[in-house]
Order: sequence, then C-alpha cells, then structure tokens
Amino acid sequence: MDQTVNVKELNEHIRNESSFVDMINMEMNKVIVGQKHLVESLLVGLLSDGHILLEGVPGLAKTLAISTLSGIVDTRFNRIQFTPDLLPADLLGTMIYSQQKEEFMVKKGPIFTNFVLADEINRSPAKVQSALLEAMQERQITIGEETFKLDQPFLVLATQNPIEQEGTYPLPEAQVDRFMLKVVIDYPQLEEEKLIVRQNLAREFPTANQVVQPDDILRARGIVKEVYIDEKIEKYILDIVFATRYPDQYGLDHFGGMINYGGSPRASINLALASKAYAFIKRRGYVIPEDVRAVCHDVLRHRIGLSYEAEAENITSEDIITEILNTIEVP
Amino acid sequence: MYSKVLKAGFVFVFLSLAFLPLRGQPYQAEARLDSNRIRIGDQIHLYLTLSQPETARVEFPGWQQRITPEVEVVKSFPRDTVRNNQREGITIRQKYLITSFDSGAVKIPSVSFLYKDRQGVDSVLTAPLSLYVETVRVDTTGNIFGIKGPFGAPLSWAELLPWILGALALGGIVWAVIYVLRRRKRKEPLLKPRKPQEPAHVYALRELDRLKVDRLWQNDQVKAYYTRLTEILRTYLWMRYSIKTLERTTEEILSSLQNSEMDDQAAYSLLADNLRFADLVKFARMKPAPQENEAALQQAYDFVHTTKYIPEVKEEEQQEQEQKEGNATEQEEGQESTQDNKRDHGTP
Repeated sequence: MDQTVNVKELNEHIRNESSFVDMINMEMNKVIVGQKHLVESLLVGLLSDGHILLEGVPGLAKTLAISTLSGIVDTRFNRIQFTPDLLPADLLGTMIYSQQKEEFMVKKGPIFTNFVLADEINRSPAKVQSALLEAMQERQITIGEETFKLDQPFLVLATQNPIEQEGTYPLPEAQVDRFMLKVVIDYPQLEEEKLIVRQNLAREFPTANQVVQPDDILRARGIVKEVYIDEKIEKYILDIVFATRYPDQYGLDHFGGMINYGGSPRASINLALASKAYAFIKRRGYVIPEDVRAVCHDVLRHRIGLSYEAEAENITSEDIITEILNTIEVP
Repeated sequence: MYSKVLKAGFVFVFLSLAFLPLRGQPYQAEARLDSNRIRIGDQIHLYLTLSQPETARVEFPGWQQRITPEVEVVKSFPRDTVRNNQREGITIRQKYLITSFDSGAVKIPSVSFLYKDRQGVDSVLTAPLSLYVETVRVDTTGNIFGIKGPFGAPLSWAELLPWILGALALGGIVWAVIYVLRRRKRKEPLLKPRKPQEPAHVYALRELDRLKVDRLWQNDQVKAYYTRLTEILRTYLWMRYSIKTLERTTEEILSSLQNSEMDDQAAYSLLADNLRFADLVKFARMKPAPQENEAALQQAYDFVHTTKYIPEVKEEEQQEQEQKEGNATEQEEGQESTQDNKRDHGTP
C-alpha cells in the first residue's frame, strides 16, 4: 500500500508543480498560433534537459517560438546565424589582449546564455558544429586555460532547412545523436493560418509575459526524474529501440536491408526521459504507453540510418518508426 | 691484270647486292586450302591472306554463295588483321568454309585484290588452287539396296514437355470430373466446409472463466490479473470488431471503437473505465481493493455479454433445419418399429 500512496502523492505533487506548464502554454498560445506539437516538444526538451533540432521550411515560427519561450521563462536568449565563414571563436569566445591591463582577457561568445538558437546549423562547417555540440554535451566551455560552466538551464535549439541542401554541411550521425529530439514542423492548418495572417496585420503584435523563473524549470526537472516508469513500459521502450537495430527479430524482415544502423543506447535513455517529461506535462506521475508513442518519432527519427535501398524505395525513418509502433505489442 | 680488275669488280657488285637490305613487295596475296582432296560434300577451309601497307585500301572478294559453279561458300568468317613485326604494313586474313557437290578436279581461280595507292589503281593476285573432289566408291558387284530412310533424331525435353503437361492437365480434368460426379452422387458439397471460427464472445467468456479460476489477485498477483484481463478484452475486440488492438494503446483502442460499428454508449463507457483502471494498476503501481478486482472482472463479463454478436437465423434456414430434425426423428421411430416387429415375429 505504501507504493500506492507514493504514486498518489507523486501525482498530487506533479499537479502542484506542473501548474507553470499551463501558464507557459497560455503565454505561448498568445504568440504562436497552432504548432501544438512544436510547443509540446519545446517543453519536453526544457523539462528533460535535452537539446532540440528543429526541421522545417522557413516561415513556420521556429525562431519566434524559441524567443517567446525564452521570454516566458525569464532567461537570456541568443540567436546565432550559422554561416559558412563562422568560426568556433565567434561562437564560444576568444582571448583578447587588453592594452590597459597588459594581459590577455577572455571575451565570452554568444553561447554563454540560457537558450541558444543555432539558426541553420548545417550552414557552418564541422569544426563550428563540433564546438557547439561539445558545449551541449559537457555544458562547459574552455577558452585558453580557463573552463567556464554554463548557466542552467542551458538549452540549444538548432534549426535546419530540409529543402536547401546546396552549400550545407549535414550534421554527422554521431553529432546528431546528441540532440534529444528532432522535431519536424509542418505547415499550419487553414484556420490557423487565417488567424496568423490576422494576428500579423493587427496594429500590435501580441507579446508573451514572463511567468516562469529558471528555478521553476530546474525544480521541475528533478520531479520529472521521479516520474514512475514501470518495468512493462521499460520493456516496451527497449523493444522499440531494439526493433530499429534487429527488425527481423520483431517480424519486420522487410526492413532488414533498409536500416544501416538503429537507435543507440542514448536513444533508449532519451526515449524513457522524454516519456517521463511528456507524462509530467500531462500531469501524471507515471508513464503510460501513450507517452512513449507521443515522443517516439521525435526521439528516433534522426537515430535511424537508412540504406541506399531504403532511399531508392522512398522509405523514410518515419515509415520505419510507424511500422515498428504498429507491430510491437503494447503492454 | 685487266681480268683481275674485272673479277674484283664482279665480286664487289655481287657482295654489294647480297648485303643490300631486302625490301619485300608492299602487296602480297596468298590463297591456301586445308587439303586439296575432299570427299564429295565434305567441308574445308579456304584461307586468303593479304599483306598490304597500313593506309592502303584493298577490296576483298565479295563471295556470297559460290566461288565457282562447282565450289560453294558455306560460311564466311570475320576478317582478322595483324600488324607485321618485321615488315611494314598489316596482314589481313579471312577464312571461308567451302564445299563441293561435283566430283572431279575443280579449279579455284586466282583471287584478285583490287587496291588503290599513290601510284594509282592496281591489283594483286593469288596463285590458282586445285581441288579434287572424290566421289563415293560404289560396289557394283554386291546387291542393290533400297534408299535408306531418314535418321531419327533423339527426343529433347523441349519436345516432350508439352506432351507431359498436356497429359497432366488431362489427368487433372478427368480426376476433377470424377470427383464432382462422386460428390454429386453422394449429395455432398464440392468443397469441404471450413471449420467455423470460434465466436469472439465464446473465446472471451471461456478465458474470463479461466482467469476467475486462476485466482491471481487473491494470490497477490494483481498486475498479472489486470494484464490478462485487458489481454482478453483486447483480443475479444480484435475478433469482434476487427480492430488491431494488441498494438494499440487504451486511448487509441477507444478512439477506434468510436469509429466502428459499436454504438452502445453504455458498453463503451464500461470498457473505457475498465481499461483505464487496468492501466493504473499496470503502470502506476495502484493496488485496488478486492471488491474493485471483482468488479473489474464483472465489468468485463457485462461488456462481452452486451456486445456479443448473435447471428440472425433466416426463416428458410430455420424451417430447413426443423425439417431435417423431423426427418431424423421419423427415421429413428421407423427403425425402432421395425425392430419391434422383428422381435414379435421371432426373427433373429
């Protein structure tokens, strides 16, 4: 009976602590019309301390969503436009000589902030991407002989454009794996777009209020880790990730030659963590299969390497994930 | 003295001529046969070889069918060109397969190669060839035999296969006709009827009975109890409404049911409560009270009973069935009365 009480207590605790989620949603909805999935994914990333890669054609409010979120949470926000001539020092910072003090001083780069928007990350060469990804992983930056810890919460939101491939440097598989979620944004619905047009033609563009403190986020992150995940759900998560590696063992023989490599253990960890964060957003103290399925595409789509055969047959990682979810028995 | 000088002069001229570099003719043509004697109808090769400067244009004879009225060309092979090692120029070789059906000595005339170079148009000739075509010797002292019939060629699979397939098809048709006639004679249906699938509610009720007997929650296996309960319900829904339930979550199942033929809202609510409650036990470590466990099973029974499919029996089929049953009863009664009669008459 103690366990029962624990889950009930946790549910109650989560209901109290997650009240800011509604406030964030409300403020976001003032500025962003539609894009419910984008807003949910941003919250999942924020609550599970995971970075997000956003993919979508220009004009889908990617940058607006991120800047709005940073405004709501009372954090610092920097936007870095990645270009082919960008250098790691432009991002991280560098040592400059002070004639007044006659010594080298550290000039911190724009990455020293809470929310970083790496706009069109694939426009810069690998050395700049690596510099950013190292900061993402270690959450610290070394300039010269000095190491600086980055402020918490630290969240990188990178965007890339799926339609322009010329003059880009695609993120290597090992680096793209460090993004917890890859969120694909689609065009808004007709009614939503009508509202967007009206909103933009109005005399004043709505602004979001600052309603959440960074401490609320850090406290919520601790609670997200306490969300109960049952053994059956763990097995379900592992079955999904293993099906991307060994499809033939799950009755998906036709995908055998189409997957070069499946999800890594980091995929399993992130799927579990993102499911917990999603359950938190839904005000639950335990994970249910719906939570896993809700975040599965975002967690796995960039972690499945497709073969030439799959590309020739127009099979995407989305198709593979959908087929896996439709095949593996739900607990 | 004069003769010595003359002799020395002759020797000098002779030696000078002897050591002069040999310069061959730029065009040389040769014709050659495998053999100059064949039996009538036999085939031999004729080789034409022409050495020429690399840039010169030379025309080969364009024999189509015959070289002479007696000599026929069976086949003309492609030309082969070789670069000369010691001399300048190239050598072109062409091979022909020839035959003759006229006995006796045959002459293959010189072959003329027409060429054109800086000095104009000229030709080069091969030496003529002679070929003797022997006829078959006839034993005039022996008996006279009739004309031999044509030789039979061995049968191939390609020739046999249509016959084999035809025979198999014929055999199949004959078997099918016999099968159909026999079935008709016995008044049996042509195809054996498939064993009807167990109705969904029969399966569900049987499994729910088993779950009740297994007493899982009474033995502190509450999670296993609810896992089996939901599995039974999901399998029932799959069999009853053809909805893929095993790979779907509770909410997805409920959403699919709303779009299905199920229109009983009370039953839907019953199922939704049951599945959502089971999820709490399975995934949220909830331990329900004993009466809740019993209620969950009862709800499952109620849902199955409410939604079970009972096929409507048509009036005609019902009448037919009743008639059959009536006939069977009459036959039984008839047999009984016969046996009674036999007993009365003392028949063994």
